[in-house]
Amino acid sequence: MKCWAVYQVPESLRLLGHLDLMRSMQRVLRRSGLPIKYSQGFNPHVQMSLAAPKPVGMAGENELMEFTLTEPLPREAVKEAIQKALPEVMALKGLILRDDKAAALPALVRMASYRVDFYGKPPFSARQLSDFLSQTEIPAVKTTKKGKRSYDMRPLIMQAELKGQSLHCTLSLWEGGACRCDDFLEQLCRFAGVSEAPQVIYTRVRLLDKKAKPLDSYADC
Amino acid sequence: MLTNEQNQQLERLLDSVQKAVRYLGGEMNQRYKPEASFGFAFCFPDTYEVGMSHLGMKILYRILNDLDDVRCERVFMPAVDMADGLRREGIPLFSLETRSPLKDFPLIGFTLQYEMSFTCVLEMLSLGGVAALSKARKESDPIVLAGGPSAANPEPLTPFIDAFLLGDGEESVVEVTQLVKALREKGETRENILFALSQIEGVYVPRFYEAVYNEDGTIRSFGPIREGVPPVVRRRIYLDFENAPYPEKMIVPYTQIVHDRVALEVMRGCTRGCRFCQAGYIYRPVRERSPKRVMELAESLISSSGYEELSITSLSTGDYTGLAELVAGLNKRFQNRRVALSLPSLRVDGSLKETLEETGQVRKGGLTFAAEAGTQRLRDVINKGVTEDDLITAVSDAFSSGYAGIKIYFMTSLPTETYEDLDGIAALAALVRQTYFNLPKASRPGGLRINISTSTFVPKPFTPFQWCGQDAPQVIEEKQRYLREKLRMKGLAFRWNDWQQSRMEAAISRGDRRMGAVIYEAWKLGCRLDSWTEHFNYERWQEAFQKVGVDIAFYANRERSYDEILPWDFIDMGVTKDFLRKENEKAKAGVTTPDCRQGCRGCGLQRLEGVCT
Ligand code: SF4
Repeated sequence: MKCWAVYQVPESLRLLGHLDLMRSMQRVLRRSGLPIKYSQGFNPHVQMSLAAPKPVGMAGENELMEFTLTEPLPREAVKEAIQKALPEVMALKGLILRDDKAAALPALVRMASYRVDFYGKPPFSARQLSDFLSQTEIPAVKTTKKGKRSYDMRPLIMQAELKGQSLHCTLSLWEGGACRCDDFLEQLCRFAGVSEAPQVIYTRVRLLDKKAKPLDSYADC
Repeated sequence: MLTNEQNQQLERLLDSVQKAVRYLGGEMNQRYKPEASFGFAFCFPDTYEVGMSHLGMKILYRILNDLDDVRCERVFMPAVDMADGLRREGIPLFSLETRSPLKDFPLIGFTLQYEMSFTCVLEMLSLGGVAALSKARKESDPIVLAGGPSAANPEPLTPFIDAFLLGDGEESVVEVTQLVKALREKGETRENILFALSQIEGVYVPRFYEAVYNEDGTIRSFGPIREGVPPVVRRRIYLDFENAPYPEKMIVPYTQIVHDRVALEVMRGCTRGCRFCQAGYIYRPVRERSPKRVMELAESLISSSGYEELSITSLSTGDYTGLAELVAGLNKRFQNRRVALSLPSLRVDGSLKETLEETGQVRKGGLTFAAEAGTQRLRDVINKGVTEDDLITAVSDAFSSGYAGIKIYFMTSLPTETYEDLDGIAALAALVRQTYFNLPKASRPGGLRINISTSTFVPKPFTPFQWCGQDAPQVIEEKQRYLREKLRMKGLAFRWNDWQQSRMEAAISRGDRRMGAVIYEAWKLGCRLDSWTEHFNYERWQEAFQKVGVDIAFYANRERSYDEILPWDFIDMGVTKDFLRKENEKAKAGVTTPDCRQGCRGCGLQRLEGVCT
């Protein structure tokens, strides 16, 4: 039985890196006492995957992990076991039961919605934001392991708006094209002529599929 | 707690430092008790990864947090980038649980595991807004405690610590905490509180004692200067080891730490009597947990942590009664749960083969053997009851059980060591290598890796070698060079420690009160995290010694006479000075003392009623 656990990475743990989170979630599953499926081999480990790597510095409101149980169990029992095994500061927000043959979780992720909270007022106006978005092309450079690469950021931005003290946006996130939230903010600030990088807290609010449907709202199957 | 503004600054700082996960807290099984009124800041004078690997801290963390109304929170030494950042931004060093500044805790306790962490004590206090010097603390300032093995000789830290807890802390830490809490609530003065603490067994309050020195720098007299303060402080020994509280729900860090596994202490103390080993004397008598209790603890530790590895720890795990049986039991219970078992500090003369077969089916890492010295003569001097045959049998067992990585550990510059003993190390290494090649190809693993590693002997208080001088730096260097030449062999790697750190350790660990000024000066000059080779700076330490006018050699290299008053003589460790002296004489004569499991050797513990039976 395949399961998706929807959990929260609170702001206080936003600096957790992907590998640390992976290891920690594996231990959550081990602690849960649930009949978790292990990989074969000499050094067996818990079979699980996270929907998408969590960038260091980012909190997550609806993060997901996928794991498999070797025998079916009632949803409430699984939920309770996972909740108990999670550190107190992390909350379990939901559990989705998936068919064993359903697509693997990471393959479904296409985009993510984010919230950027500023300490104080956002350093640009709603007007500047809409001007930024009305460009047909946003040339940007990303540094990868192989060096610097230029790309057009515009098609990777699905949506962005200012709400109060926060910037909300939806950005592409898959191998076909991904835009980092901090890169987006940097471009936007540069466009608006902001000289000093603002202090912010990044939160990944939801992970979305290709129809922009949140993965955490999937029904059981 | 930090102010909003400080919190915001801290968030910015955390964004910019390396491995910020060290400073976040919020781990599984963390105790969060913001409602408890009395705060105890448990400080480990090294980084998070090192401190979180330490068992003693976890034991006391649990005991203190089990008290109503007490919240025990963790504070670690920040890495250099964070320490500098905190200072620059004016953010006080804080606890992980509630982000409270160190200075807001009525009690602060340091655990001292090695001397080279001493400057971190000063640095942490200072970063936390607490005066580093005890005498500069004001009436309502925190009371600063310290304990742990490196408090065995507390004298070098006397200027900074208000009260030391000597020996096992399980009971004394509770007594001290409750007393301070009660007296603080009553509004007692600091001086009165400290006096009251001095009345608790095992507690040493340095301000009530004074040392007078001879012209040659040795101690003329030492004793209390206030009526009612005990002239001799006896270490606490916690005897009900079987039922001792254990951190059954240990904190599970998010990030990888040095010992990233469950540590299960099956036994405390060691009776082998290796003459260089301080732990072998200051943790007597041997106390074992029953296999039944160990199994119980293992169960709750594994299920509450989710760890993949369980390590059975003690000073000498091979001596644990029924080890093979325990290992088999643990394997049986945890195999399906994919828990690997590891057994550090195995002795080479135990029933290794069985044990290896039992653990071998789970995970094969490297194996470490402590040979300590290269010849039988020198092993007799240090009372390391291991023969060449023991070692070769053990190594051969290890090879045929599938271990290809073998580490053999030696100490150099041991008392009476000659170049023949160094030749012995090389000969032994060659023999180990030969043992591997003598095995038929089919019954040995591929990829032989022999690691020979040496460290420089550091004479320690409360050992038979406490009177010895350490080799001078040139002698150590010459010996290391010699060994390097001798150990050029294929399939073999040689690692040694630089002498500088060992020399400082030798000076500080047997220092008297005047060493405090040196530590203070060294810290002022920027020394911190001295146990990290990349941060240790010998020149700065030299400068500190010079500035204070203290001679390193006086402490590190001078041979002390039996009638000299040693700085730690006023502490009753259980083992008597007389016994240590006899052991030192036997060492010089190359006479061994067998393990006292086979008969009491009269080390001194027999004087204390009900302690060693
Ligand atoms: S009192 Fe005797 S049996 Fe006990 S630790 Fe000392 S020598 Fe060993």
